[in-house]
Amino acid sequence: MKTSHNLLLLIDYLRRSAQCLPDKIALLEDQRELGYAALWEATTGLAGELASRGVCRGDRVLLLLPNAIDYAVAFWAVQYLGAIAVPISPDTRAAKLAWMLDDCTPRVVLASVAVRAEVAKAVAMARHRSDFLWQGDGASLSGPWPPCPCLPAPGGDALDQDLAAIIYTSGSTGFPKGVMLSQHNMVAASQSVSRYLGLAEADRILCAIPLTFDYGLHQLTMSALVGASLIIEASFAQPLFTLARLVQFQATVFPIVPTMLALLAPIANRFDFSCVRKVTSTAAALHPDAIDQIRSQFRHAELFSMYGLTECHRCTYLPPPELDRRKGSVGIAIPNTELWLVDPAGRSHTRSAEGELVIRGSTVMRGYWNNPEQTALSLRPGPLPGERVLYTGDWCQLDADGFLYFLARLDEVLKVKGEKVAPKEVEAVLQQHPDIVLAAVIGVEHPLDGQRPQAYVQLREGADSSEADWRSWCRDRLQPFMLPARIFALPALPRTSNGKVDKVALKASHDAARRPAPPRSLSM
Amino acid sequence: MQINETYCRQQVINAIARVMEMDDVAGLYDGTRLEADVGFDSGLYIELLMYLEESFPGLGLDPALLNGDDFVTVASIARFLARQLAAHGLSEGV
Repeated sequence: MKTSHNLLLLIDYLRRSAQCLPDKIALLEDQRELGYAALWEATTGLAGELASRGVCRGDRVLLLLPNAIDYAVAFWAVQYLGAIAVPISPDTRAAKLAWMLDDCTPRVVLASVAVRAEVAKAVAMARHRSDFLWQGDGASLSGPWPPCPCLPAPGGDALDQDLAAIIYTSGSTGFPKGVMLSQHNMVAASQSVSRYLGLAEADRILCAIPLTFDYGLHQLTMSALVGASLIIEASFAQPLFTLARLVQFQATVFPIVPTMLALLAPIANRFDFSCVRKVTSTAAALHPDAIDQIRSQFRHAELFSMYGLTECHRCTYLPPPELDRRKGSVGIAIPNTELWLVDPAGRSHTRSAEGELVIRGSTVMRGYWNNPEQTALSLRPGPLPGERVLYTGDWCQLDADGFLYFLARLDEVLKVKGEKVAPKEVEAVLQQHPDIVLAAVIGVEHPLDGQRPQAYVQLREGADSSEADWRSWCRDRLQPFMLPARIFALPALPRTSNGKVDKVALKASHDAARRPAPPRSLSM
Repeated sequence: MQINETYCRQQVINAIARVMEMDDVAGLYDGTRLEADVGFDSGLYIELLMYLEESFPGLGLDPALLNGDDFVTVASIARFLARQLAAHGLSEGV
């Protein structure tokens, strides 16, 4: 492909691929495919419809759409106008959706008819009024649309400083935070990631990740950047059929999240995945067992273990040759970014240290929408005048060669006798015990120590060890201040809706058990 | 024995019953939908394929050829099965 064009805005990616590769397949879904020229035509068509509804540069447009070609057309149409895409999961419940409508005040909402009832409830709760364009039930966002006389030039005169997207992330407390990503942020992120992954025009990327997540969304930007084909799967709820399509379409790149591995395990050996060249995974770190599983199932693929936050898209990746030498590491800063750790004394380190992870580079967000307080906590002065760097709130470790290890979210780190304890480190030691299949560590308040680690474990069937055995196991492997004060066995650890151990529930049950029983006279 | 569509349908019903551990197959007919009516979830399809393969020695179902549209109702699976048997040259009998 010609590289002479300036790629300043995301829409430039699509424009270039439509010019250079008009007949190349851009997008595939179950029953439909679209070439780059046809995608460009659908994009300009929908952009015209949005323009005629008053959408212009800087306006927010909510995308409440399932994973499908229409989602991609909608995203590109918003980019065409220099407007701001706000992707939101179609599963979002009415109250939260109403809050988001009032927070980002979109000019137009593009929504699936499948969620019309929930949207109606949200609209009744919200103060802001938007125009709605529905998708589904025969109505396609891909047009054809009537020609629009007011269609601007591609990009709508936007600058690369302008916002391309707002992506809401759920805060640990309170309301979601709208991560503001500029054109420059998203251009920098997609170019950095596609460079270290080595993505190329010949690639076919199968995306079963929600396109409303930045991990999914960037599959769309990166495939347009390199002129690859993107196979869009509605979800990974039907792994057998998704994997069938992966083989039918001969996908070369397969982005996953670790929760997909459990679904892959029982069926993967029936498939021949030799077409897959790269498997990417983004999470805190891949467990060594997961690394072995992926390698045995995708024998011809390089495995990229990566880690990031929506606030800068991606923090680190582990170059595949390092996988065996540095199990548990999430790697090094992605190209065109750098990282360091800030220890509790405020000193910065680039190796052999523990501290809060800081990211510097063009990928760092512009802040949280309508939220200067949270923005000020996350974005702080960097080395150059006026520059801001991202304080991630992640407690990490760097080894002697500068490879990063994620330990905990800062708000999860326990402070025991003045020392910082990452629950994950204690959990990892417990889980190495032959009888323990799963461990969770929470902090419980203690008058002298500040906090003390307390562990909950789930045992394998037929286990016959006891708390004393697990404690002595820990004593041999952990520093004294890290030892759990108590270790309780539970038949099963409570889980959250997305499958993680529910530590809030564990904490609540601990607190409830410690609450003094009501006086006898009252309880009778 | 000639393997016709009726026979395929019966094998599909038997396989579904084995997956779901149902003793009574009277409720299973052509129009029965796997997910909506029987409560199939994504993890069970691979088990269904294995039981179908067991019913027809020599039949190997390549999962890469699967299409979700073939796995909606008893009848759609029976049609898929008949096509696969024909492709394997197994339609003429067991």
